Amino acid sequence: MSKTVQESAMQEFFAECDEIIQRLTQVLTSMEENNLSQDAMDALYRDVHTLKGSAQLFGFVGIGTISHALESCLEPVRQGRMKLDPILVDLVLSCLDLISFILQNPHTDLEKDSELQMKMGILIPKLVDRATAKFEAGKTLLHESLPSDEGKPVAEIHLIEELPEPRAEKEALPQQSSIHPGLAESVALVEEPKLAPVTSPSARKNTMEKPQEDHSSSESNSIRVQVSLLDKLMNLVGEMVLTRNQVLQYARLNEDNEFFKLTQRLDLVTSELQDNVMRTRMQPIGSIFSKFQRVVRDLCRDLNKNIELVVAGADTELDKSLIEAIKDPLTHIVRNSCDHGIEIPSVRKSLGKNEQGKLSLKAYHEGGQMIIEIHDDGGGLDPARIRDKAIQKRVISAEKAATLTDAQAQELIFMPGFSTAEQVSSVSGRGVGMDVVKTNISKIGGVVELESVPKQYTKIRLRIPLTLAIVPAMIVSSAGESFAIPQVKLQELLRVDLDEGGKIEKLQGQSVYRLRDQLLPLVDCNEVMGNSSPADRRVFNIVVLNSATHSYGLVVDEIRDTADIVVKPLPTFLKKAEMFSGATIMGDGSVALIVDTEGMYDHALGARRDAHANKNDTKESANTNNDSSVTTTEYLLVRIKTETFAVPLVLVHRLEEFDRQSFDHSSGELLVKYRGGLLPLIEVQELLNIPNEDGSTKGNVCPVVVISKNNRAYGLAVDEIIDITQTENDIVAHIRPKDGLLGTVIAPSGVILTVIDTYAIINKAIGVEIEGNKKVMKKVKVLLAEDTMFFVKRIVKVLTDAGLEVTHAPDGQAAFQTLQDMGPNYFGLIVSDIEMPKMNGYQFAMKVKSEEQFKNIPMIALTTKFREVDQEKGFQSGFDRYLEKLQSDELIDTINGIMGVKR
Amino acid sequence: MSTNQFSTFRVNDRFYGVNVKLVQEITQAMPLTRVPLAPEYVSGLINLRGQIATAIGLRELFQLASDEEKLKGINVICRTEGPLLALVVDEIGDVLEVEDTAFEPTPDTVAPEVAQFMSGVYKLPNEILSIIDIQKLIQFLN
Repeated sequence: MSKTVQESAMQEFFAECDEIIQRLTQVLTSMEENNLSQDAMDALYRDVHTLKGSAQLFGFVGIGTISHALESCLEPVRQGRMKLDPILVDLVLSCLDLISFILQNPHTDLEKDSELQMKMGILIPKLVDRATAKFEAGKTLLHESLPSDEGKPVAEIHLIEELPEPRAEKEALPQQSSIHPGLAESVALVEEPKLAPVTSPSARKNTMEKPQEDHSSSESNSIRVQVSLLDKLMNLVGEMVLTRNQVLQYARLNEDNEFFKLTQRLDLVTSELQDNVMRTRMQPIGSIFSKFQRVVRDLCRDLNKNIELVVAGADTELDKSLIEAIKDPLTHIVRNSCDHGIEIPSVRKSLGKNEQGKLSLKAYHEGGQMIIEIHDDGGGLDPARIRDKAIQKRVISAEKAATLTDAQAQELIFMPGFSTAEQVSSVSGRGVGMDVVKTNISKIGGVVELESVPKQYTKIRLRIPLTLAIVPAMIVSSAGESFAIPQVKLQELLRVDLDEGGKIEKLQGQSVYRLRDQLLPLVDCNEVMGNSSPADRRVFNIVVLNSATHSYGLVVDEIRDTADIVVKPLPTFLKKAEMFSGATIMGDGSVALIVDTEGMYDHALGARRDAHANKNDTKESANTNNDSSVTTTEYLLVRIKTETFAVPLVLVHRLEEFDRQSFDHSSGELLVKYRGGLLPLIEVQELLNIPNEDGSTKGNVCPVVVISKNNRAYGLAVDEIIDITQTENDIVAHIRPKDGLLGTVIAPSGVILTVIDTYAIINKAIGVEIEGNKKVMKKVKVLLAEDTMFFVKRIVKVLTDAGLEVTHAPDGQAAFQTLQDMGPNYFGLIVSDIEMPKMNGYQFAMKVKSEEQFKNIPMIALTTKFREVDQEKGFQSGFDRYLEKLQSDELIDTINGIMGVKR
Repeated sequence: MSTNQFSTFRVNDRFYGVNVKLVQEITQAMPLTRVPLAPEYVSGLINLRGQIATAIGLRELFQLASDEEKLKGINVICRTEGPLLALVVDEIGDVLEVEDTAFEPTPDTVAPEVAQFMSGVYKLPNEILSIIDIQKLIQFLN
């Protein structure tokens, strides 16, 4: 029992500390220009004192020590003997940061956390120095004994004595930093030399006298209540609302007039109770706005900008949990505005703007929602630049970018992948972009709106629901169970009756619906939830939902009703599926799950991917322990005249369609304009001498398979692009030997497909023998580890053409066995795939490099896994080079390079 | 001599107990709302006077054979730091006060499917009581 008392006291302590720190930070950051009144200063001092007292009471020695030092250094300020200058303010703020840190990690062992120790070891002497220096300069003596003397070099005191302030500060501090290497950032900012000069002691007096609003307004009319208690109250009220609804319903059926009157009264009281209980959870948004004063102030210093933060509507109230949820997105937007939005003073001046940038934060209620506007008068968003960047980042294709309106282009900043590494400055590039902002806001049922005029301003508007606890929702049913969908996610409801001319189409096996000429992907609620859907469905009830990045249609069995629902959390272990954001209790007392629209969509996609992966898994032998050794090969099926051909999908760069009218003939070559260049086209039919049996003429639209080879794109003109198929079977060569064909492969359906040798076709078409003309300078024996026969054939051919002798092993394990069998001096080079059964490429490389006798054999990874992380992993495992598959020239060049250097 | 109190119940005739302090109440079978795609042992969600409890089928969790006759679906509602848990059991026994001296760690022979949730056993005159550790259960679920 006593334990819980202690715990709750501890909670109180934490809450109090947070409050004090917040108050102190606010006072300190808002004072800067206009100095503090004596009252405010006293209040500040009192707060620090309280902090010290309670910290020591609860055994937080670290906080105690810091606040003691703070107190000592503020003491002369309070007595009017010293001025609270920016350097000191920074120092105090750093100390508050440190205290916050300790509070957030209460279990950190102060003795053992050397970083913390070091930070304290730096800050505290500084505070002390600060006070001492001031005293020296002000010709006053310090009577109070100062607590800490660690790490304070004697020479420094000397310096301070000799030099007049404020220079003493600036010169003494860097010296100190060299004594404590590896300064933490909170400390480092104190040393920034560009600070306002400290006023002379004589100027101090009059600055003290400005009257100031009293920040420590008494709050004796309030009590502190645990949030959990409020949550409980909220739950109970929600319950009561539901019960009231049931009673009202019952009363309507009842003839008893007296009872009806009573229920009316119950209705009123309950509504009022609900309103008031909701208000208990409300907090003024000012609690986070005030933090931005500090954020903007720090940013201004870091970025050498001059920004004024104007806050309006700080007393607008919002549910506490929502305030927490919008804190980070809002911080990100503010940082963005300061960093990318508002220009540096010189630029602003040249643009004829006020040198001081203005960032305004405005909060207000509108239509049952909270609106937060972040408005900066900076450079705005340049649609052209955004388009370029989006194309460059491959967020969007060039063709698509051209069709966007300027406003749409500006919206691109919310696309995932838009803001990435390039803009990593310490300020806004933290690996989170505006897409995360948008996702997070939409998670709490909010919306982000963007408005910007280039060179003038950017305005971001967040629409946030006032509370999360009660939300309007649409009740739908699927497989006999009810589900609630929050109204904010709902766009519209559709009813598609197949018998009345409605049409649901299949696109690559997935259902889609044409909604006002836009394709709406459909997700079947039953399927996602693992139930079977009625096969003969004739009427489709579709709920059109907008998630953060896309809209989709959820097919449900029945659309029932709208209802205000009380959101109840789900246990964390059920949230893993992420298809449901919570549960609610329906009017009839049953429990319904609340659909997380984003989660549901992701899940639908994930389920498809899983099904896909499972297909691959079945083939894998049980003893493989590597992550994903896919042995299947995917082929693109194309039709040329009457025959179906397969093109290995790994070689396909893109699929395009061109109008035959746009083809150009240039000295016998067929060309088409493509992405700002010319794409050479190859008529596969002519090249393979496929007879035009049916005598059909070519259609106007020509599907083209774009193949990238040696960094050049080539287009293979075909008659139709049919589908993609997957097979575990290897290519059987030479059943039908023909130039330009690799062989045949059996598709899962049993159909025999002829596989096109795209590179051979291209070589033949352009009439240049590219392959084979490169020779390896040094003849060595190569060990090739590769599981896919298709690639084995290609690579062996490239290597033997180049004059190398190749031994092939089907996986890493076999390759290592071969290596051991042949001894260390047999192979001069190892070329390995990454994804292989039994032992993958990474494991293989590590094993080879760990053996003394083999570790000098150079290793090249040849893979289609070409992301940066994969490469990094490859190098870590011991590969010397990491190459993309089927870039034969590059491979030979690399081998030449490696052999020349290494041996 | 110190003692402990356990709320006891049976699943497939096996005898289990949980610390009585953690048990909020016992209810008869209640309507369940199934959670799609959740593991089999998550029987569903229960409306417990406005609070939502997650029903965990101990039979499924312990991988015991299903016995149609015994399926009564009685709920032992346990308080945890997070959600309310409803352990779905077959039969409710008395609250027993047992002495610490009767305690023994779980024997190695107990199937790991069950043993991973047990904190130990108490030897009673006629029977042996297996103690379910709610903490371990929560850890497993999470």
